Amino acid sequence: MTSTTIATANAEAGRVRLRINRTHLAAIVLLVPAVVLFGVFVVLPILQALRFSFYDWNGYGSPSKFVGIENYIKVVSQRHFGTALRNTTFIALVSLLVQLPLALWLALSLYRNTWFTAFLRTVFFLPYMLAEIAAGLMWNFMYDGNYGLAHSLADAIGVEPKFVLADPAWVMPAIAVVLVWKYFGFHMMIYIAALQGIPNDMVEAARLDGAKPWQIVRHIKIPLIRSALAVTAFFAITGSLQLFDLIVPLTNGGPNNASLTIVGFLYQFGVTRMRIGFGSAVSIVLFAICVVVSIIYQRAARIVEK
Amino acid sequence: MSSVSIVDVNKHYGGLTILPSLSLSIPKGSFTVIVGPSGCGKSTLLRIVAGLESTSGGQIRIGDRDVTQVDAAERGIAMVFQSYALYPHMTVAQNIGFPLRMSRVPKPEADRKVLDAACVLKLEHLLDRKPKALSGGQRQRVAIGRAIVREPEVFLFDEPLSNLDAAMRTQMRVDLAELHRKLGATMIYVTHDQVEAMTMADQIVVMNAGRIEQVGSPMELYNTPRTEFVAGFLGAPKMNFLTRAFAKPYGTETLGIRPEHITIEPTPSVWTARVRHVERLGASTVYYLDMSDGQSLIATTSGEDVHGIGSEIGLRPRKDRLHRFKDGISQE
Repeated sequence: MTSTTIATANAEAGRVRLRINRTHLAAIVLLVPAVVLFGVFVVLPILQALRFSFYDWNGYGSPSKFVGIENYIKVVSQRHFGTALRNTTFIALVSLLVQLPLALWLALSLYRNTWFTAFLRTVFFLPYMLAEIAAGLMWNFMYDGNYGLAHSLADAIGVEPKFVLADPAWVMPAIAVVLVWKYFGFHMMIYIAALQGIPNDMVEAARLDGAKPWQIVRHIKIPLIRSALAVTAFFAITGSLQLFDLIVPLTNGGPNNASLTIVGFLYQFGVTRMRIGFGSAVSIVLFAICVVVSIIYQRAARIVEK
Repeated sequence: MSSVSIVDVNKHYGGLTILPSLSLSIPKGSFTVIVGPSGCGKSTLLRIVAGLESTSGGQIRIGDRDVTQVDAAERGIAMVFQSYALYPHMTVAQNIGFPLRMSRVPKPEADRKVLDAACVLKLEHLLDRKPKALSGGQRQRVAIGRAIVREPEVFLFDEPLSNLDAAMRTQMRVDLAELHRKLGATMIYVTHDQVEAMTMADQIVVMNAGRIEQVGSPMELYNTPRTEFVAGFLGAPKMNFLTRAFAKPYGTETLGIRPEHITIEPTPSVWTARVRHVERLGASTVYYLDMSDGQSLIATTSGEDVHGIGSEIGLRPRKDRLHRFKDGISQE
């Protein structure tokens, strides 16, 4: 190898080193703030909760009474945790099987731009803009058998008004109605954005290929918005797992804990009773469920993308 | 295959008139190219024939059938879009077979038809691929395959080559012309590219501002354009139009002469001009010239150029190739 060749090779190696160093520097500058924020506000609280979940602690002083997995045993053996888990599953199923199909149906009807569809979209999106507490209070009045809409309706058709929020058999379906009403507009908007991204040529080509309107929906539109469908399903499930503030003004978990969700259970039996260790165990269980859902979503999303 | 008749068709959007009133006859088995500048209404006309747009008035007939009110899928037509409009979640085979699936053709028969179409278009080895794994030309062939399997009475093409590069466009022009010969089908092809019109058509329809300027064979339109617009639209480089002192001796308002019908001479001749710019294309040379009164002219000669920029040359127009226009209409 001549000296010129060696010098060229050294210069090239130097340039590669410089490029790598610059890449590293950019990565560090961009990543560090995110990692610090994520660490302080996400990872650290989770680790703290994990630690507290092994203690019998009321939140005063520092936790000292280590109880091992006793809190977890208490959580899974509590009757009300079963109710909370069942209710959360019910909410998730209603979200997936009622809310999302309703949102999709409306999106398919309203995604083309006219003044009328724009008006209806706004109307349907309004409930999502309301604060959960306000929406809960509003529906509380509506469900009221003495003064609310339920009373007026029952009066109009001449039957005894039903107090659905006070009936353990009806309370969850009543909450599900509020939930669907509150959030379907959000999912509808995601679907509308996705549907508007489908090239018109593709729909026209399908029309010319002899596809009927419902076949165009089934074979063309739905497959083309599958990413949006996966995202909304993920939002619906995680939203169901976290449902709490809509229920507080409606029933506060009642009657007789019949409308507890997992977060409601955590709040009622952990926070309000100053059982921080127990509450932490519930939160860790909830976190584990969320992680499992995320993993399933990621896998499903990858399959969908393929 | 069928003929297509467009009778007094017009199209208005609110107060805006896109097609004033238009009649056109497309013979059975012909390759008709509708050509015109952007916004002239050619795509609207094609979409009306396809049934994707309604008419404001008039009648569309395919063969003996009045299809004006017939749904797009029932008209017996297939259309190839500029954007290909392939379904990205389906494989090539599924894309081609989609119309058959929609019309519930038994699977073995559908598979055979898909394979036949793929063989015609040389797509056999790509049947399991998704559209994103194909080149532009391959995608366009899949779109054509999807049209072929329907065995339509009429094929419609809406600027199908616009998204392809120059080399692929040339290849596809040849492929489409061969396909037309092989299938013998009636094809209506919309483009703004006069080269595509000249090279592929049996019949060219030149449109301008929603109106048909002229209908005829490529050479008929090239040699005897009825209007100044048609004369200027077909041919590259486009026809020269001379006015004032250059037109007067020929007894006309506007004198048209194609660049290839001007002979360049080294000494002053019928006309004299100064060379402003020269384009060397190898087989021919294009001269951009300034005439004595400031008018511009283009002349082409075969072979390499011999006249440099700034040099003065003589020009002799071929008398039998002169076109005389008055108020935009040919006086021939």
